[in-house]
Amino acid sequence: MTEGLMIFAKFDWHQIGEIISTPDNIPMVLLMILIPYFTWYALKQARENDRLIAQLEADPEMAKTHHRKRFPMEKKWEPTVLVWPHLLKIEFLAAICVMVFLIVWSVAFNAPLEEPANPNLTMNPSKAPWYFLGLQEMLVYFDPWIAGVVMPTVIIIGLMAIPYCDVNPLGNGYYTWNQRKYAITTFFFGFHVLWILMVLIGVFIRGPGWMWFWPGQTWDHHRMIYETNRNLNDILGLEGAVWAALVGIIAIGLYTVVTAFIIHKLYMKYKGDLYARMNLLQYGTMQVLLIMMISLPVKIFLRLALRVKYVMVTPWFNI
Amino acid sequence: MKDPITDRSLSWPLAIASALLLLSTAWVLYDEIWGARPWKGYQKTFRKVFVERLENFKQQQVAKEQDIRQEKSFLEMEEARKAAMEDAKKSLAEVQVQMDLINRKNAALTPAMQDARGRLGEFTYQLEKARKGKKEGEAKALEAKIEKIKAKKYKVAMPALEKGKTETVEMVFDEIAAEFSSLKNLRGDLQRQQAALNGPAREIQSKMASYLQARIHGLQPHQIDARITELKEKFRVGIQDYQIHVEDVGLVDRCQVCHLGAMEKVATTQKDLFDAGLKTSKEVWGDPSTYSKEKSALRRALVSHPRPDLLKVHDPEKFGCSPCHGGNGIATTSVVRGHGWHKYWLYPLFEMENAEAGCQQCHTGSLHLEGATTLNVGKEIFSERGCWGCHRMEGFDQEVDDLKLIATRQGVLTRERKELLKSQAFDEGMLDDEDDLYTDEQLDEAQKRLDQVYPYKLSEMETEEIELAKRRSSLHAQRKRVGPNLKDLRAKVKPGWLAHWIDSPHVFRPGTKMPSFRLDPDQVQSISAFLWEHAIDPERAGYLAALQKEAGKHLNQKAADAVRGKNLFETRGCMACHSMGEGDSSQGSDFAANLSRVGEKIQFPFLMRWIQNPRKRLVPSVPESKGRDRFHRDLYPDGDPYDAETDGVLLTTNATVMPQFRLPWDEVRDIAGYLMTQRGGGGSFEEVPPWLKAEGEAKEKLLADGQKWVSHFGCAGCHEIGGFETEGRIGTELTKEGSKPLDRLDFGLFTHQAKKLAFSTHDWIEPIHKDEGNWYTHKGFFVRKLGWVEQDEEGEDKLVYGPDFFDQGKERSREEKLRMPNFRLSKNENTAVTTFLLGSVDSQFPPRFYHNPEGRAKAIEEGWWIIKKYNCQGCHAVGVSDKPSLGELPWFDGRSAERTAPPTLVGEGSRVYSDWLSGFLRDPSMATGAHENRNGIRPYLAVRMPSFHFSEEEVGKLVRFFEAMSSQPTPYIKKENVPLSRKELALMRKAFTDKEGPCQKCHVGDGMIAPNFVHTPARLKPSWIRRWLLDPSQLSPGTSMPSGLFGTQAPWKYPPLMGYGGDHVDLFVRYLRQYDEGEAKALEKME
Repeated sequence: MTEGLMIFAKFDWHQIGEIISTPDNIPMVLLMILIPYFTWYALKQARENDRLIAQLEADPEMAKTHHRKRFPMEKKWEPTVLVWPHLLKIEFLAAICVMVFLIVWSVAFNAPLEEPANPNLTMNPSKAPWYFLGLQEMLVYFDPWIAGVVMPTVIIIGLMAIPYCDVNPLGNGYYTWNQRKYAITTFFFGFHVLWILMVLIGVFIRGPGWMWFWPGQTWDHHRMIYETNRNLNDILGLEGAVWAALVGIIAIGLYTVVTAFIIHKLYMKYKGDLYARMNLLQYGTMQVLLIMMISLPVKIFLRLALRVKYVMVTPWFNI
Repeated sequence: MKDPITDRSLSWPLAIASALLLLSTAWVLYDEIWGARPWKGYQKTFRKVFVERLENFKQQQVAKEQDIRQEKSFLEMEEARKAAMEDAKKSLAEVQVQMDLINRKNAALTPAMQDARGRLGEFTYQLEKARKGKKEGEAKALEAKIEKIKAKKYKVAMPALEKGKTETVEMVFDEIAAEFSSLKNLRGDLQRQQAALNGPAREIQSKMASYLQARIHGLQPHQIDARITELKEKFRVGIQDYQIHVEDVGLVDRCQVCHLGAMEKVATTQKDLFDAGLKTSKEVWGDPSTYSKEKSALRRALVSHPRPDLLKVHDPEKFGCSPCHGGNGIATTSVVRGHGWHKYWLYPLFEMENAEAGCQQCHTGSLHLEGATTLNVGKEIFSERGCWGCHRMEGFDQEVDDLKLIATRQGVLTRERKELLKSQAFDEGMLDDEDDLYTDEQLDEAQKRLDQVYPYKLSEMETEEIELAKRRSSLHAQRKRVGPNLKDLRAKVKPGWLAHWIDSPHVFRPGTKMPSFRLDPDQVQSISAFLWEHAIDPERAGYLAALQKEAGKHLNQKAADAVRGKNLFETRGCMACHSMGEGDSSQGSDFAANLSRVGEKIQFPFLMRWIQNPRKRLVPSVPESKGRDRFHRDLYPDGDPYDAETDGVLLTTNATVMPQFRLPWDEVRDIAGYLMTQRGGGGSFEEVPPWLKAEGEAKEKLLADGQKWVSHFGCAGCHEIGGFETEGRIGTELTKEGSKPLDRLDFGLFTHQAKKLAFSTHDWIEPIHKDEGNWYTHKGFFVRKLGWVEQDEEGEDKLVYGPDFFDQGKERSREEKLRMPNFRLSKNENTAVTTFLLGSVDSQFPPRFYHNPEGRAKAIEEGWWIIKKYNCQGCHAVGVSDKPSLGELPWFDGRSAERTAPPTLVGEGSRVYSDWLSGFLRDPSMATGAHENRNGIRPYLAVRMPSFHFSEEEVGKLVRFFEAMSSQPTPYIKKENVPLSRKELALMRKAFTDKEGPCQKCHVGDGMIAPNFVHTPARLKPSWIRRWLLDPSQLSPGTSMPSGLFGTQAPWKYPPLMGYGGDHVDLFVRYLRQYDEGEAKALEKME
């Protein structure tokens, strides 16, 4: 990876062009534009809403009337806004734009059909569709059972559980930053960093042999890198299956305890009021999910910097 | 402030979005109608241009037709036709009058007839129904009604001969019906008359039509008109009319949607299209004389398919286009898609120079395919240069595979026999009971037991084993190696020469078959040492002593007459395979080695032994022995005979195709002496090389290294080497190389560059030809892997690309480097071999596509392999247009009988009997005793047909080949000769002893310079003798046998023969067919 600094010697635009124009990758190119845009847009709306909230909190009289979008209500405005034409003309415009987009895309790009499938010949790199590339990237850091089954299940169940654990009554139906800092931060971490970033790495950075290629580096199939990984117990010098399991259990136990403690302390300090409103189940769920989320960057660091393969090795699953 | 929702006008965004929508919709329509369908434009252009083309062509044909119509014979025919028509005119008119009358009568009768018949029909039907329903009353009533109708009288106005006049007649139904049918018969008669009258004129007309058709090449004007009309009126722009759908394969080929001229019957070239108006804009606005081929892609696409004879054999409706040409037949959206020139279509269109690659996938078995010249050259190179020594290819070196199969089958049989015997509690020792262990009763008992259950099985197995053993010895005799037997090295070459050769063969002998291996000096030394060590020790083999015994006093280099040797070399036929002289002054054939420097390298005694009999091994060899060739005394110290069953196959023949010339020892000595004087390079390799001087540990190391390298480079794939007899091939199998996935071809560090990507990670590798397109294809790989030799600015030979090209830039140890040696092919040879490899694919098509010849075609196909293997075409013409190398030499000018070239083999099958031919091929000397100096049919020739020692299989295939080439019936039935009467015999004998007679000048007596007649009864087919006697120069152009011996202009007139009333030629044929030794003696007595 480090020789990636060499890219400044010769930046391969052609390679970038080829990656971007691969039909499978075009959604990701769009995603790279759309995600920042919508994030920015949402945060802009949140900021304006916060400004409005501040205004309304300062002026109780104004707070009694409705507001329209991010502005307090003015007298000459109609209180009722009709669906036709006001909503529908926006929707119509949106429909036209989507039509144009779809038409242009379908005429310009053919379906990405390749040669007839040959079971004896595997492509290199062999990549999943983009919506699974985040998980495929996670496979680098975790055991397949964890990265492919446990984590996705936890993600889905966690997403389902969040509304039940979310005890913050504010911020429903409008964007706001001030009233929902914790939730938004956690969301950004979970979505932008742990999901989108992983997907983008999987699409643009991972090349032949799943090796790391910085943008501008040619995807050289002949490249050889040193990437011999070892288990945690082997690093500590404790060989054997028993040690592998034991060291792992201890390490994970330690991690869990330490992380839970830190989370608790931080949560109490900044969100003590929310803590008061949560029951044990909700708090416990939140802890578990947060611990699992944080384990990902921790494991990434261990893998990339220290070449650690598995922390815990048992005959049934590894972590 | 404005209301952020209700006061927001979205007019501008809506307007822009709507405009975009409109534009994109327009784009969709454009793309769908034209963009993705470029062929619409091509078709419209084609229609316009091709009509013009046809019009131009029609002018030509019309002019031609006019000329033909002015020819005398045509005009005569026209006159005759007119006369015939005149003759018939009057009678035709009469017949026509009668015909008119009949028609008028018919018309008059018809209403009444129809009426009556209709009614009758209805009542008859009802009657049948009533009868069936057993309604008797109704039936009776109906019968009555029918009677009434039949009795009804109709009034008919029958016309008379004069027009307009009629005669009213009353007729009942039966009469009307009778009149009707008699009219019909009359009409038939009249029509026959008409036909007969028109006959002569019609006949002449059809003769005129076929006269025209035979003389006009190409379509006649009326046929062209038909096509023009078709194009003008029925042409549809679309795909349906041009698509080929081969249902059983699921193949859809739409090539013709753009290549519209492909199947047109009027051959159309680019020039024709240019003249018809298909010009590029530059040609239109610029100088029209700037026409040159390839400037217009559309012109290239619209030409007609060359070789319409090929299309007749491979009907596109049954084969499609893409099986032969490659490409993506079903795509129509662009040229790149249709031709499959993008990375996802695995079978791209072959380029023009490789177009014959498509032939190979169905015609795998043939070495000589009519019309596929590049492919044939490629396969010949593959065969002759010995690619199959390292790379297995199906069909080449079949003997090795067949031997393996036989070995397997023998193993199976042995195992089965053991099991069989065991199952019947039959001890194998009982079969022959050598040690007398069993009593007679026991043996009988056991035999009975066996016979009860398996009466014939054992003997079946034994028979099969005998057959297999026969086949195995045939295969061993047939099997040839690419390079010489290296076990002979010590006896054959000077040690000083060996290292020079192994290092760079092409320096010593430019154009040699042996490729250069890119070896380091130490590798060369160790390989030389190893090969020398593992060659047969001549002292131990005692070969010199044996040679001395055979050759006697002739084994003496000083006594050799080099001048006579040179003459012998040039006349005995050596130069049909070998050449002498360097570069442009080289004469002879390049099938075998050029001998200009042979004296520098070879040892005299071995050369003598070799020339006398190349097939005789120095020492008999057992392949399984792995180097310990079976000197008899090694195996059998007690002197027991060799036992093939226990010791394996014993090979006594060398695996070379060089035949034995049956030369006497003095001639052998002189030729050898001459060759020893050929020291073109002036080099001397007499010094003892360092590797030979090494001893002790150094020598051990040399030998160990040598073994490693000989094994590494696969020398045993082409040469026989002691210890490596059963080694396999080191290269990949190439049978399906053309279908190998591209990812599996090793482009080395050139992958990026090959795909024409902007930057390569290894830019320090020099690309050789910078302006090439994408070469990440099979063709790109093969062409560069094979490499070729170019002349650089100084005229020196430079190797371009080559087998080690894909190693460039890689850090590799010697053991890891690519091993394939440089073959130094020319550019054309490279193209030919590439074509062959591109065609070697795993074919996707059903068996009906493949060429599986039977009978005659198969015999021809198999025969060509043998013809090419032994280079028969070096001396003889086998195909009609062959020019054998020997005939080109100055000596063979035919000025005397001695200087005649070998006979042509065109029509050999129709000339000789097959049993004679097989006997001749087995032993061309046609001697039963000692073979030397007994030289077959034409002993007066200087050139000699050598003994090839064919295997039985090869003899059979060759005989069948010649029979098939001459389309002889199988089986050929010899016709009995009609014996001559006594008078005829006396007549013929007198004719053959007449002083002026032409036959005896050459064919009879001492000093014959033509084939002896005594061979005729067993040898020549009577029909051929007849054709020969009548016109020899047609059967064998340039023969000394005079033509015109028979016929009124014949120069020789022997009076008694002139009085003979029967067929003279037939008389001669019958006489010759019974001309045996007795007849020859009788003639001698008469003289």
